[in-house]
Amino acid sequence: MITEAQIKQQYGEILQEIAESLDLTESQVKEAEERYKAVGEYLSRGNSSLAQLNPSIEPQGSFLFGTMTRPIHEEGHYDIDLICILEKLPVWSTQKDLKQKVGNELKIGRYENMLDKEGQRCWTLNYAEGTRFHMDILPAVHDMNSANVYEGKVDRHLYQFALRMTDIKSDTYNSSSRYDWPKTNPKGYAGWFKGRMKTQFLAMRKMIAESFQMNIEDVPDWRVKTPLQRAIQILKRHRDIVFEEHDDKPISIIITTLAAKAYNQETNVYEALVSILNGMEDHITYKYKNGKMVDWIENPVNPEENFADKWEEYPSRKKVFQNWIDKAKIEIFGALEQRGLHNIQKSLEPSFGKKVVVEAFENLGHKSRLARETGTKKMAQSTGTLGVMGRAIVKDKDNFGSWTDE
Amino acid sequence: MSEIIPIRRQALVLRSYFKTAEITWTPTSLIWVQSVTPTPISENYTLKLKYSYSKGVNVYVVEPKELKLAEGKERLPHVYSQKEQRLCLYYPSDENRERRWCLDMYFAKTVVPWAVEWLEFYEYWLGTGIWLGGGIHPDGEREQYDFGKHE
Repeated sequence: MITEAQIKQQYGEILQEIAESLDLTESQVKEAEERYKAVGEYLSRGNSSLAQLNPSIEPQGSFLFGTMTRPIHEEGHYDIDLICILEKLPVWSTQKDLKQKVGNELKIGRYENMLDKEGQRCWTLNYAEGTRFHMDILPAVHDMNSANVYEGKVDRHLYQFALRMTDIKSDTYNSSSRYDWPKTNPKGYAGWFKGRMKTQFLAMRKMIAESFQMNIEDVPDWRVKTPLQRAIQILKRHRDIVFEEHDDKPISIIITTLAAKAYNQETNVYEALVSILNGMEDHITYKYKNGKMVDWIENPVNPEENFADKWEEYPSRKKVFQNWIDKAKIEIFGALEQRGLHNIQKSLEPSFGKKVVVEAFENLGHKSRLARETGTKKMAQSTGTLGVMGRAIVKDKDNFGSWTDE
Repeated sequence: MSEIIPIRRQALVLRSYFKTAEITWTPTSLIWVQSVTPTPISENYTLKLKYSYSKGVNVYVVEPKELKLAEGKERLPHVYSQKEQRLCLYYPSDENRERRWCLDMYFAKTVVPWAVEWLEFYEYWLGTGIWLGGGIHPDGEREQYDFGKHE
């Protein structure tokens, strides 16, 4: 008899494989790391105009959370978000000074031809065709006042990384009063995010260490992908396919935050996705702001910041978000409810893109063949169903004969 | 070679795996018909195993008939006969008897799991157009190759 647990297990394997197909390749991850480290070294080299300010470059955003996904088009680019912290920026500097100091160093020399026109908050480096990285560099400084701002509201181990950043549209762009500058805390947010999946993260890291015979500490974070991270990749991909570049496209930080809140340490990507899709909306809160009720998705490391602030200005976006959640449920779970691997595959293709889904099913097939070759594939009695459990081992052998054109 | 398994024993073992199977046999032949589900989320298929002392063992997909083809393909992969839906399950070589069926092996532990697995890879093939089960693709072989005859 086929059990519900077996079915969920197989759904989980399919979604896991799709998420893996969305990953950057190992060489892309390493290349991205090398590239941003090179920017950091360049900015702090001896004759850099920033050398005295102790610049450092750190990743932020999905690259740091392990939720990056391949672009939907082959020629699409990979946005990698970085922060450039100038540790010793003089106290009399304005936001504009901070922005321009970083920009001026990038405008001449090695990165001259890669630098895009100035952005609202960031400087963008466009890497050549081959890698197709876009590195968005956000200039920032440490928030020396963080204890006063966040104590009692945010955990100290998270607010200790708080930063102040630049934003051309900020009212204090020309002010040197740093405690009025816009707040940000990507490292704190990443710490919060990791905390939401801690149990699974540690368990999986241990498993990877054991299977590669490494020390747990030597397993790089990016190698570990929990069902939460996998579910977020799946949702982001579905969103990218549904909205492409539409203005109402739900933003990644909302998806990531609500998903992390709805996740309950499920060990299976399918079950994680069920919890997340059913639970996300429960974490949108309401708040009275200036006597008006607004939707509130709080930045977990800055209670003043509402990730859904744009919903006030564009009320349709909340409805769009809710409709998208419903659409994802219907399409993904609807596809899985069919019978026949090929039918499931074909139904998933429009949701995630044909190439990614085909690749995922090819990988599932390869793994299944490998299971036979290594003697771990078994056949259950009554239904003959194959899997890790069963009565007869499927002996290895060679299929023979093919009159097809393959 | 170790001892040949009597057909009655083959039938008993098949029955112990598949309580609802339809099994008929004589001392020199056997027919087993059973509905199977190759993976928990696969479709159901009915397999028919036919053994006779003179023709050896053959496995057919009897339901559905006809099996669908992958997009752009005109033939089923790894079959001896498309019309009969008779499956190629192993390479009939004398060299490696561990990788094939012989008279001293139970159907329930060899040919049957391989047939179910054929169906699993058939579903992957329908979706991807690629046979992912591995195997040997001989050139210039013709249909109706007989194998597994009593040697």
